[in-house]
Amino acid sequence: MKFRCLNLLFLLNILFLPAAFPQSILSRNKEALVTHYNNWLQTARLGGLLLAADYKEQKVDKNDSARARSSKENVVLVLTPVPSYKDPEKFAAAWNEARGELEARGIDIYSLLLNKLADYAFLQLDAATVEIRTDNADIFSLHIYFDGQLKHEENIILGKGANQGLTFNFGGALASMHESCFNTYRPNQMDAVRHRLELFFKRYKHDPGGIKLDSIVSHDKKELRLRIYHIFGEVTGRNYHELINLDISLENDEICYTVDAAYAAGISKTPDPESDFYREVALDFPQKWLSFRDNLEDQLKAALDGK
Amino acid sequence: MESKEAFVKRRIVASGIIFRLLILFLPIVLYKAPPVPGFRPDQFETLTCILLPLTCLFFTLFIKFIIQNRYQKPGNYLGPAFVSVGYFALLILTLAEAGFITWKAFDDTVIEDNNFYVLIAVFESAWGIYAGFYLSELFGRRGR
Repeated sequence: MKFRCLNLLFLLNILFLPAAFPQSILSRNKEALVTHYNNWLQTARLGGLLLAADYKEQKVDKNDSARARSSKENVVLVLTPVPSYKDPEKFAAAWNEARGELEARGIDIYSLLLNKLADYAFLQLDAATVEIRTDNADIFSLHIYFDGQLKHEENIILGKGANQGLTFNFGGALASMHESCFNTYRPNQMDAVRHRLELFFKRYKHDPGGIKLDSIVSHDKKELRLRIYHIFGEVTGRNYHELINLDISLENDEICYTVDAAYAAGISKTPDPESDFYREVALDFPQKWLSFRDNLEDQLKAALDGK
Repeated sequence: MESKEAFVKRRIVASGIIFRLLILFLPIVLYKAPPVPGFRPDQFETLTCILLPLTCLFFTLFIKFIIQNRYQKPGNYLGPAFVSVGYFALLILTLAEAGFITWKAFDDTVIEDNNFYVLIAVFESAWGIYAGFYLSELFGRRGR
């Protein structure tokens, strides 16, 4: 009798196994961006306020100036308040507080949200839109997009004493985001910058199949988005698969850049850069990340100056 | 195949120790040894936390047996079904669990992390059922 029970329990265990597998590869790819973005919101400690709920591709109205020219489809990421901030007034107050906290640290929350979407979807900035929807659009709604410059249409009504009792401690949460500017006497053309940076990153330790480097230059040739992957051991110090996102902008005589890096495990296979198998380097290797980003500025200067 | 009680117990103890050690040390080896680590630090920690409790249970059980029953008499013959369930369950569980751990280490994208932990927890619960039904029955016999 006991052996029949034993067999039955083993059988039940085997029946549970399929439940442990993902639903399907197709649905996972579609959801990967939302998951990836949610992971980042948690990392940035914005996960206590916002949740990525939906991601869709939509065609832009042809009258819509530069945005319609830029790409066939635009990606819209819909963010919603987390359940504890479901009340639009409460959310509006919390949003205002979080925006203020970040502003005090020199971080523009609108630029941050939109740039992250463009990084993860690997798009030009003008092909990405972030929307924040609440139950009452009259009290709070927000559209962030890029049309020659970063724009946001915000509808926010703050109640009396709305900010009381709300504090956001971002601590070192945004340590992975690093923005810096430096002067360079050459080159002043974005195509030349891209060429030199590609040559520079090709020196990185890479997979036997070669380094992968994706780049997008904006129409006005002022912005460059670089994604470097199939490299390993350059940021973490251990031979993990690494992914570096580097956004460059030319501003007068200065070159400004933001950089972040993620890493993934896997002995024989490098995960796709769009997948959600990458994790922020700053989370698990904070010291290595700090030393990498401190060295990067000098290396970029040297690379752009042709040294 | 010798199926006297004492021999079966000794073989189960010997293979159980080897197999549980394999299950426990496999993630460590896959994390430390290969040129590209098979697990991230957070994955490795979670995996170890799932594997450790049952490994402790098995080791406690086996070490207790080794200390108390070193000179046990051969005892009665056990039924072939009873003996084969013991060996095969141990072998199948070890191969399946070690196989999935290795597969995940080689290709992180085969299964999402949360689903992987659920899968390992299912395997560990199967080990628990094995211990609860089979080992308690086998080692509950005191040299009859």
